[in-house]
Amino acid sequence: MGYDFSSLAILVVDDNPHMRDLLRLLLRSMGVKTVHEAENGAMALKLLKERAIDIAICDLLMAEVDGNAFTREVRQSAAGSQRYLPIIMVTGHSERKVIESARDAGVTEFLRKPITARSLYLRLVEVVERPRPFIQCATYFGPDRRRKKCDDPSVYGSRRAEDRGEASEIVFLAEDA
Amino acid sequence: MTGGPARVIRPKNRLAERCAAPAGTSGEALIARMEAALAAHVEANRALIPDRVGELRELSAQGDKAGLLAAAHEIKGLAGTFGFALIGRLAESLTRYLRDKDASDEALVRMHVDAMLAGVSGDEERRGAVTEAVAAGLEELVSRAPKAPAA
Repeated sequence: MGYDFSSLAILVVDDNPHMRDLLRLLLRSMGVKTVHEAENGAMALKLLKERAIDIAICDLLMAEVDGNAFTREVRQSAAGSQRYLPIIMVTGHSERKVIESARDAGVTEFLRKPITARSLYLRLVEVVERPRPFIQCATYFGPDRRRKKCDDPSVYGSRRAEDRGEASEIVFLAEDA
Repeated sequence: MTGGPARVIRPKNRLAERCAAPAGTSGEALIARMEAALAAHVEANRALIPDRVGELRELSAQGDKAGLLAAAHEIKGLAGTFGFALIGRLAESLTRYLRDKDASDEALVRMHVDAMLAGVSGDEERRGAVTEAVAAGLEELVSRAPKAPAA
């Protein structure tokens, strides 16, 4: 099944102008008409207040406000439905601690470098087709951090509230928060 | 600390509604269009990675570690997409050395830069000398280097 991405407004956040060029080109070629760009997280947060953004594609390592700080700020402070903004983190890192810190900041999906047309397409489809539920507890607000369904909680570790089966309430938001 | 019970929130999925395409729309056709655009972009910017690697030589000669780290990080992210996977691996190794290790061994920095310069060289023999084994060797040296002192 295909999608028509033309109505989406996507924010690309990267301090590397060549990477922004590349992402803009790929997004335009898949039909996205509105691509906003920011060279760091601080600029991206400002843009989020001024524009309606559907999805953010964000680099991890940036000067000033990096990808994790940007994500935390969106999850903790953004107004209304923007707290639920899908954030795709672009990273060349494969170290577990780096991935876990981004996931714990509230990143929705990861896009590994080198970026390919297919990998970008599949990440966008994932965000559109299977949005993650959000978890809210005393220590975390963000997308469900479990990456696959499994009955064995030990697969995910034991420190996440969603892993411990402590969900007490399921809320369906029909309208923007 | 348990953090208390978690609340599961399922926001309404408006993106799926907005991105609905007419029946018969093919994702593979879209990917093919993206790949064609990417190939044209890579072709039009063939000099990008060699140029950026060339800058590493100057930064290395100046002893500009911050500049080297920024340039190596940029090359790491782009090289694979532009067809220079091995250069990307070398840039990642250099990034790791400059960012996570004490970065005091200028010879090790030069070895990375020289390998990347050879890897983008127009000389086929020089280019061919930069192999997976070279990258693995440099990665091994970086892994053994002392860590950067805690800030």
